[in-house]
Amino acid sequence: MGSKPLDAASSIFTPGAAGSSTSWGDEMASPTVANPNQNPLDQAQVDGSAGENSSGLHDGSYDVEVKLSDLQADSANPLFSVQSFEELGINPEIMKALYAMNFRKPSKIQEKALPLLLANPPQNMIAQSQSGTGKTAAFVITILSRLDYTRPKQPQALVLAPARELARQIEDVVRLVGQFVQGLTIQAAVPGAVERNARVESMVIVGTPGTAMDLIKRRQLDGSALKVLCLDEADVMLDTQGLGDQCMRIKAMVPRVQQVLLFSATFPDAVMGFANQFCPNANEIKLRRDELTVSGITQMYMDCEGDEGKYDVLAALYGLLTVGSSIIFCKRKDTASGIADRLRKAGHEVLAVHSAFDGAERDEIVRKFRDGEGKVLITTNVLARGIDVSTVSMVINYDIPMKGRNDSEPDPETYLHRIGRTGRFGRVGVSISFVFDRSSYQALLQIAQHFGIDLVRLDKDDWEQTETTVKRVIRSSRAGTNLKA
Amino acid sequence: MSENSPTGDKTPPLPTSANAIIMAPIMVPYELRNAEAVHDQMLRDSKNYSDNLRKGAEQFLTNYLLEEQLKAIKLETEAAEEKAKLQEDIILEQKRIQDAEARVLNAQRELRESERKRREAEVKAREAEVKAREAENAVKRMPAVPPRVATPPPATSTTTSANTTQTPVAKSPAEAATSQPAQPPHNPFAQVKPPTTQSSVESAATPPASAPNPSAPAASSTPAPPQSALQHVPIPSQPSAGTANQPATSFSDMVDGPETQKYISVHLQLKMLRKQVKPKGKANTSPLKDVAMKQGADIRVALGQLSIGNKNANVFNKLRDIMKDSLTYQVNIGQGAQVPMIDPSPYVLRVPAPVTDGTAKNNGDQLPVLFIYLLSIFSKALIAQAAQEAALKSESAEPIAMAAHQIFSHPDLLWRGMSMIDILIAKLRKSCGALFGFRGAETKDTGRITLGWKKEDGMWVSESIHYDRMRGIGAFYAGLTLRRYKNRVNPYPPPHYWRAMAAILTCPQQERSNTSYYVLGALIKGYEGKFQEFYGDFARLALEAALIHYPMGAREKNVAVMTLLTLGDKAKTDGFIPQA
Repeated sequence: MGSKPLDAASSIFTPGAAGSSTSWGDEMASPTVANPNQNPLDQAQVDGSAGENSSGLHDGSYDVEVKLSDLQADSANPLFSVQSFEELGINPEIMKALYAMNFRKPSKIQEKALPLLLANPPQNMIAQSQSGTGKTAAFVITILSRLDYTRPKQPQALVLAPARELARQIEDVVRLVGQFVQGLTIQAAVPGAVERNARVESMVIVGTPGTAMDLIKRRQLDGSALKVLCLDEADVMLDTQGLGDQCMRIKAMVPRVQQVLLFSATFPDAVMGFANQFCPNANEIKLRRDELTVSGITQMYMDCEGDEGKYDVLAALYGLLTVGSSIIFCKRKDTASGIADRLRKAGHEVLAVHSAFDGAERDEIVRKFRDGEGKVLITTNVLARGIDVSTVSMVINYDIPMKGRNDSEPDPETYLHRIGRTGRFGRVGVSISFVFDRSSYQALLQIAQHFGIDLVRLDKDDWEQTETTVKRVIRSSRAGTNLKA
Repeated sequence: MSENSPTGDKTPPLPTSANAIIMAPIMVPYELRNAEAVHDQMLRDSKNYSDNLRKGAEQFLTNYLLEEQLKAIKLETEAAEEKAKLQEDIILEQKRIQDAEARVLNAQRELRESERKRREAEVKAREAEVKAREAENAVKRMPAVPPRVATPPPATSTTTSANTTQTPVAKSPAEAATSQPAQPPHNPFAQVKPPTTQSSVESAATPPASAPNPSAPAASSTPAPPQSALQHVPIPSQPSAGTANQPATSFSDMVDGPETQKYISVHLQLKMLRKQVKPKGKANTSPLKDVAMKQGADIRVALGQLSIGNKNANVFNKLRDIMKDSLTYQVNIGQGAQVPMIDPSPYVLRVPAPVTDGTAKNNGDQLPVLFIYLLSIFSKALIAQAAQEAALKSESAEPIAMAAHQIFSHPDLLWRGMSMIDILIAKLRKSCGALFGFRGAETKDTGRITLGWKKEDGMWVSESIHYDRMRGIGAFYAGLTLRRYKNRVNPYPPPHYWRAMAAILTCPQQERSNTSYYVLGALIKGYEGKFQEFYGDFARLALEAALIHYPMGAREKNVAVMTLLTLGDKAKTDGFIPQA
């Protein structure tokens, strides 16, 4: 399949057909662009750093030009791509924004999905890709490309996310990607953001299902011309009882939607049936379970002495590595507040957010974290998913994520989403999980087995050794590839 | 096997018993032929026979095996001997080759040395000429020079003009002048000269400003540098044919200059010092190492706590306290507790003379080891932090740069009134060569080393990590240089910003790299306003050169170039670049 040119019209992803789902692993680079004269692979051969990325020194007269191998040239890597954004045929105004946001090359999901997403007639899509690989940008580019800019007051696209922070963040991404697009209007539909009886008159609406549903029901939001409906973190949206119902209801109220999009880093098998029902005849892009983690995230764990000992270890970690921003996940609100107090005393600018805060407060806290006013964010699972703050270089699992009745089972999906808060788009990050007794160790072990990952153990009693280990592990995660002759 | 058996020493009984057995049925009386005893006897005999046979055979086998082994060993030793002989030959051969190579290298070195000397001589000659001319000019202007120009900075070098005219007044030693003079215009790379002029601006710019100070003669020299640089900037010099051969080294005086060489040596010296203070391994413990580790960790924690939009006073205080404590840290080495000291001169570009007014601290010729060590750790941590954060959020470069200034310009942390910032600059030079005029091909190992492309585990880090790192360091550099204080002297003033930008902009097209595009973008993004504050209209022209002309002249419009052009578009709409 690697040689077959694939453009939007001659999609090889037959909608709904059995063979329509693809996996990254067995896939070769498929030149997705319909440009027979210019094979991007050839360019990659000349300079693997990227066809468009070649450096200044091409004076081959005195030295042999070498092939550059890199993360984005490694076909097994989720950020691999053979193309540039330019080749994907994206509107120049959007391109400009991508440059301003310092996007360099499309990731695999973007390269794979965008031609399908932008194809006419619009087709549904269920897309899975690792955390931090640019899913949001992919659907935002799609939405901005589908809008009718002559009708700035008519809602045309609706994006739904499971939490208000996430909705706010997507709103920000829409604004950023659309910063050079003339006449774009955006609005958030999260609790408290829309006045009662005020009409929602923007082209793109980003919100949470509950609020969006109410707005449509009360006719504040006119859904008659909605063209695109997109669910981010779709698995949790469809799987969680309340959210799933709301999504179904919304879908029933907007019959003219031409394109339904489901995006997530995880799609447990149990959800897929429902997803196919919600998003029929969709192109699917899926991952194998062992491909789910991103190599840039170094995963370690530390055996702590009792629940109390965890704090000392936590405080010491900040002296061990260069930390940008960090997120600490814990189970209970009071633990969160407790750690926050102690870290503040140690001089950290700490922000704590959990469900006890009201919406506006939560928006403000996340904004501060995003803007770098606070460097440490302590939170419960509210923020495990989707939040994208590129400076996060460390994620701490103060408690191992659990699910089920009485938190009796380990929760691998949540673990994956948590550690996915770091290592965004090719950057490196560290995740450290704390275990302190048999049950927490067992839970972590099961999670590791679930994804087939190796966790590195750190020794709390020998900091010099731990320092060496951490440095070595980080080094190896940073190590790219060598220049090949 | 039986034919060979007689060789064994226990074989003699064997044939007899064999005979006995064969004879036995004949010798036994007929009536006894079925007697138990006879049968037993026969069985015993045959058993004996077979046992003996077996023993003999075993014996023979072991003998045989031993012999074989012996033979094998002999063969082996012979082979080994032969091999050793061969190896010896090879080694001898290699030695011969090496010797020859060494001789060639030596010859080359000598050649280079003599060439360098010749060049130095040339430079000196030109220097002398320039100085003479400058002196002439200065004499003409002399009456206008107000004596206060010399007074404010005891630390930084005085302007060349000031130096020549007021040698009796300015006490700064001749080195102050000699550190700059390599630059006077004398070759096609003259555009890079902004540094020269910069260093003259240096002292002028540290007091209030460059532009809004029109009357003084010093000020008249201020606008001049930008101009001369700008004229060349849009038209990158045509590199002489020779330069293409060794892009990394032949670039400019800046790279070959004594200052850069010294920075390289400072960096190496610091590396050695760190190894001495904190030797690797558990066995090597000492009170000094413990305290070094602890304080190093505290410095990293503190830098990680810097946040945007806050005053960060706590962090700065903490850092200052750590540094101040290191000045008095005592350890017992034999004769009671004392502060371990070291000569700081290998870690700075020039050695300041002791300050005479008696107020300066650290006025001796030695400084505490721990202090120098921690400054080195601090410098590393600053760059790591900038590389980590500032690419993703350029605003975060500001607090990091401020932290650097809090330490390197603090009056209590100077050496004879001079900032120790060279320690940081040496590390910066190593981490981001592009800022100092180094160029290299990203497609080659040597080029990557020159550019400061990091290796981890012997492998190059990925592009995105490298570019992010470069952008972070670039933004940090801008924050470091574009800064002015009311009551302190910026130890690394704005002219260095101009010099870095000029170093990139004067790069001929074929030697440009994506790294340089990204570094340039990072130097500018978010600092357009400050740049303009210091350089006025010249900043606007420089921005036009950097964001419009420079990327337009790129060989291909790749993402790095487009990013620069997009930044230019924005600068235009924001009014930082004159509208066409």
